[in-house]
Amino acid sequence: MQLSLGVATLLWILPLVLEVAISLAMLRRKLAGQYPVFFSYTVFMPVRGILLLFFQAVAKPYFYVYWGGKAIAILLSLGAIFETVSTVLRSYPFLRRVVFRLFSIVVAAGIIGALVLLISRWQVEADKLLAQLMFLERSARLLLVCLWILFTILMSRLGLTWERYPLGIAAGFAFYAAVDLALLELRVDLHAIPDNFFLLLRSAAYNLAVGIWAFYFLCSRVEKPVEHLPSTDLGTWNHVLMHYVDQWYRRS
Amino acid sequence: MVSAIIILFLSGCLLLLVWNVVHTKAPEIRRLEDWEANRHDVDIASFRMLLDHGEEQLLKSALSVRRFRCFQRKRLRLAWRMLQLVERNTAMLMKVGQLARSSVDPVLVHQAEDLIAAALRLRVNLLLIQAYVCMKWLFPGWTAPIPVCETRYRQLLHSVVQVRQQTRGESLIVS
Repeated sequence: MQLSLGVATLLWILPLVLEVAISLAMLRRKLAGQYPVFFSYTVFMPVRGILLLFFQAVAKPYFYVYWGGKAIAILLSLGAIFETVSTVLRSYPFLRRVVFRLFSIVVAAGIIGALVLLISRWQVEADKLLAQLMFLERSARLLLVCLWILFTILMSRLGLTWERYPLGIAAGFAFYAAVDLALLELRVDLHAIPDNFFLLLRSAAYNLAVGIWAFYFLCSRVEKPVEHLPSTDLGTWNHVLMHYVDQWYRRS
Repeated sequence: MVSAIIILFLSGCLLLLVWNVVHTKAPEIRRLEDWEANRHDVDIASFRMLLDHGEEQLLKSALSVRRFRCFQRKRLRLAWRMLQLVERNTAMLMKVGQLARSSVDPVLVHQAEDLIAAALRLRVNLLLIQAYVCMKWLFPGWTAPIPVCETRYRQLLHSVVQVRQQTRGESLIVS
């Protein structure tokens, strides 16, 4: 019992410390302006954690801080996806426009779908309210998972290269979104894991996500500026491949 | 139950994708020397030979159907491997272009933008060629063209060039 309490405390404190360290590293490297949403997230999460500690004995404020904070955290996670897309695709304005449009449609459809389902079965009794909040959280996580899948596949298919910080941000958020959604499904829908184990696993998953961010933001890496560009045969390859495209594809 | 399975499947997919992105086998490009050390030399003439229609017809007439299919698949596998190497080269060149874009020299920045646009154009072409090679591997004797929405494809390529020129124009006005 004491061991699990110790582990839970460690899993609670560790990400707070790491997030403060990440925020400071971002300020020192002038990255806060470059990734404002992610920076806000790393500042917001420790603040929420400390507020929850203060209100842990008072049920009502704790409830509002917990669920209000969770809603803000999810909105910031959603914002982080758009921020990552914007950063990674900044050299490809056309692609960025297409991806933003696609993502906006997915987000709008997801929000409308979740709200319609929620309104159709809205009840205000305490236990029902909690179930509805859990349902909203699961819907939001599912939306995040779908957006990350879409974006990762697009990046991989177009062979676009990830930069270090967007890769770290994306990996951390995507990992946490995937594990958290799976855990919520196993707990809420399938009742496959007990409550305390669920909380412990969820906390561990968040710690791993923060660990990923810490790895990418706290370990520095030197990139040497390029003084000239190499000669390439991209033009020749493009010419050869266009020949096959013309030969093999019938234009409509 | 069905929704739970779909959700768990999606979560698993995302975890695999994240693992794939983080543990990519592609070499890290931090300086120009990394490109020189990791680039793959792919012979265009050999690639053309592997996909040459005349060679394919010659093999078809000289070999039995079974032998032809086997031989043609070997040729397509080789072509596929070459396309993969070109794909890796393109990804590395995109990274070199990104590094060069942070330079203070405006000429180098423009050249880097040209390089990135050419690499992106090649990636789109590679996708189309890979899809066709895949179809040819499944049906080695197949010669019919695949219908494609040309207008969209041309629009994509055109917008890449247009955006590049636009960016160049804007930066010239600023300077």
